[in-house]
Amino acid sequence: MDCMDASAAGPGAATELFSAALVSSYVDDARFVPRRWLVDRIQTALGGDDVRFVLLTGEPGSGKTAVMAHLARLCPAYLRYFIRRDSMRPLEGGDARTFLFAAGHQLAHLHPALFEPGRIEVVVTQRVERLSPGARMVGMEVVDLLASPFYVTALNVTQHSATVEGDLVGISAARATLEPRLLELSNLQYLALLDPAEVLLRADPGARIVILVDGLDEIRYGPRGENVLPWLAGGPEIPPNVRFVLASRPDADLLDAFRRARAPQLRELTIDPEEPRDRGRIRQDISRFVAGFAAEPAVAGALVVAGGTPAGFAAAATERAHGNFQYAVALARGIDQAIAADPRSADVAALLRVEGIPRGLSELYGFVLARVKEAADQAPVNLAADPLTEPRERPAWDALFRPVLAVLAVAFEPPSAEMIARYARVPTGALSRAMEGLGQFLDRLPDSRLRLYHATLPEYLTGRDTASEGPFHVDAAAWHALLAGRLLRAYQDWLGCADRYALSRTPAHLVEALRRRRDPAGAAELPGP
Amino acid sequence: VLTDFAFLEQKTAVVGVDHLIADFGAALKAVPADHQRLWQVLRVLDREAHNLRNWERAESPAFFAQQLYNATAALGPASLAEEAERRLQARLPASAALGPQVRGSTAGEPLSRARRHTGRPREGFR
Repeated sequence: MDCMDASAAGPGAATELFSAALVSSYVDDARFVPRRWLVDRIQTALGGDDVRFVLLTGEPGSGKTAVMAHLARLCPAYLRYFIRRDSMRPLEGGDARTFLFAAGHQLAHLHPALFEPGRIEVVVTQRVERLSPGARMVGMEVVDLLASPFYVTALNVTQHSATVEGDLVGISAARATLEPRLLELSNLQYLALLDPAEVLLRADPGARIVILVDGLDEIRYGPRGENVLPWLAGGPEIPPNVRFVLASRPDADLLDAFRRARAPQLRELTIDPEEPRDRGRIRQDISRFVAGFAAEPAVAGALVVAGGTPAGFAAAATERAHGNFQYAVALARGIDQAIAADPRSADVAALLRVEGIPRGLSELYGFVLARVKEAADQAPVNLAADPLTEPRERPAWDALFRPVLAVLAVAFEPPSAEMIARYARVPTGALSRAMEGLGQFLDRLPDSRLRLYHATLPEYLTGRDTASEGPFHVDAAAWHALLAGRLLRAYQDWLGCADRYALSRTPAHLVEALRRRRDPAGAAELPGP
Repeated sequence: VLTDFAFLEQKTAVVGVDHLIADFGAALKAVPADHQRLWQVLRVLDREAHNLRNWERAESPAFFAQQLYNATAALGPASLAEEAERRLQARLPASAALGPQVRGSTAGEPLSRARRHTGRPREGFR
C-alpha cells in the first residue's frame, strides 16, 4: 500500500502533535540507515483487504522504533503514537484515552472536513408574548450531550417573551459532558476515530487511515486498565479503511490476548536475526551502519593509527552485533567517546580491533560501563557523603557517576543537568565531569534535558543483568524512594515550589517505590525488607 | 503528599487538576483499598475539577481554597476543610468578606451560607 494514498497532507506546523522531534532524532541522524525492505514489507502487509493490524515484533535494540520513525517520515499522512515511559507530558503514555486524543487531534489536523459535519450547530429561536403562571417553555431539551474535543459544538437558543410568569428554560440537559477528559472511552473512540473514518469511507472509499503505534510493550510499566492494548484487542470492529501498525517486543504475556482477539485481521512481521529469510538483510543493515561509521574522518583516522581497516572493523563489529542494531550503536558511541578523549590511545586501538568486546547487548553495556568506571576511579572526587559530614576524597564512580546514572535511570521525564545535580545530590561543579564521562550514554534533547540513549540501558541498570551488589546496579525501589524523600524534604512548603518535575512526579516516585517493594520482582532487588 | 493542602493547591495551579487527579488514581492502586482519606480528597477534587480546570491563580488567588473549603465542608475530610479555611483567611485581604466564589458569579454570601449550600452537585454536569 502506498502511504500517499491516504492524503497528500502532512503535519505542517503541528510538529509536536506529530512527534516530529522524535522522528527527526532517528531519521535525520547522520548515521541513520534506512531499512527499505522492512518498510516495504509493512506496506505490503497493510495492503491486504482483510488486514486491520500489522504487528511488528523484535527484541530490544532490533530497530523497531527507527523503522516506525522512518515510516512516519515517509508517510506524513500516517497518524503516529510513540509510547514512552519518559514522556515529557505527564498524562501521555500507554492509556487508550490519551492515544485516542492524539489520534483524533492528528486526524482533525490532516482531515478537518471529517470533523465538520454541519449538524452540530443547533439554532433555536422562540417567541412568545406571555408565559403564564404554570407554563413552561424550553428552547432545547438534551438527553445526553457529548461535546467533542475535536470540533466546536454550538447550541444557540434565542428566546423572546414580553412577560414571563412561568418557567422559561433555554437548554435543559439531563446529562452533558463538556470536558474532554470526562468523556467515556466508549464515546471517545467514536468521536476521535470511528465516526471520522466512516465519513471518510463515504467520501473517498479508497482512502485509508493508517495509525502507527510504537512501543506497545512500554505499557507494562503503566497501570493496568484502560491502556491501549486491551482497547485494540477488545474495542469495536475496526472500519475497513483503518489500519494499525503496531511495534512491540515479543512479549507473549502482553500480546497473546490481542493476538487471539484479532487473529483474522492480524498480520505479523518480525525482526529476527535468526530467521533465515532475513538474516542476510539484517546483517547487511548493521554492516552499512558500521561501515558508514568507520568511514567518518575521525574514525577512519583512528583506524589508520590502530593499524586496522574500515572493512575489517565493519566485519568484526557486525559479527559481534549479531543482528542487534542497538549493539552497533552502543559500540559506535563508546568509540566516539574514546576518540574524543584521545584518538591515538591504546584504548581506541583495542576498541577498533573489537578486541575483548563481548557479544550481547547487556554484556556490551557491562563492558563499556566497566571502562567508564575504571577511568572515573583514577581520580577521586572530593565530596561529602551527607550534609553532616566533611567533604573527603571518595571514589568518583560511587560518589558521582553512579548517582547521576541512577537519577537518569528512574526519572519519569528527562531531567536538566541542574535537576540531576539536585536530585543526585552532587555539586554542580562536579556534574560536568560525570556528564563528560557518561556522555556516550546520554542524549541531549533540544531543550537541553538529558536522557539515557536507549530504553535498554535503564532496564540493564535496574534489572537482573546487573547483580544487586554490583557497581552498576541501580536499586530502582530504593532510588524512587530516595528521590521522593529528597523532593519532599526540599519542598516542605509546596506553595513555594516552582519545580514542575517535583510537582508532577513526587507522588509517582512514592507510588513506584511502594509498588516495587510489594512486587516480588521489585522486592527481590531490595537489600532488606 | 496527596493530603497536603499546599501540594494540592500548587500542583493544581502549576500542572493542572487533571494531573493531580491522575496521581490519586495511581496512588490508590498502591495503597490499601480502604485508604479513607485519599478517597475523600479525591472525591472533593473530582467534584471541583470542572471549576478548577481553568483556574488562574494570579487572577483569583483564593479561588482554590474557597472551592475546596466549600466542598470539604460538605464532604470532608475535616482536616482539609480546616486547612482550606486557614488558607482562605490568609489569602483574602482582611477587609474582604469570606464567601463562596462560584466561577461566573461574584462573591457575596457569608461563609456560613456556603456551608449550607455545598452538599449537592449540579446534576447532570460534571
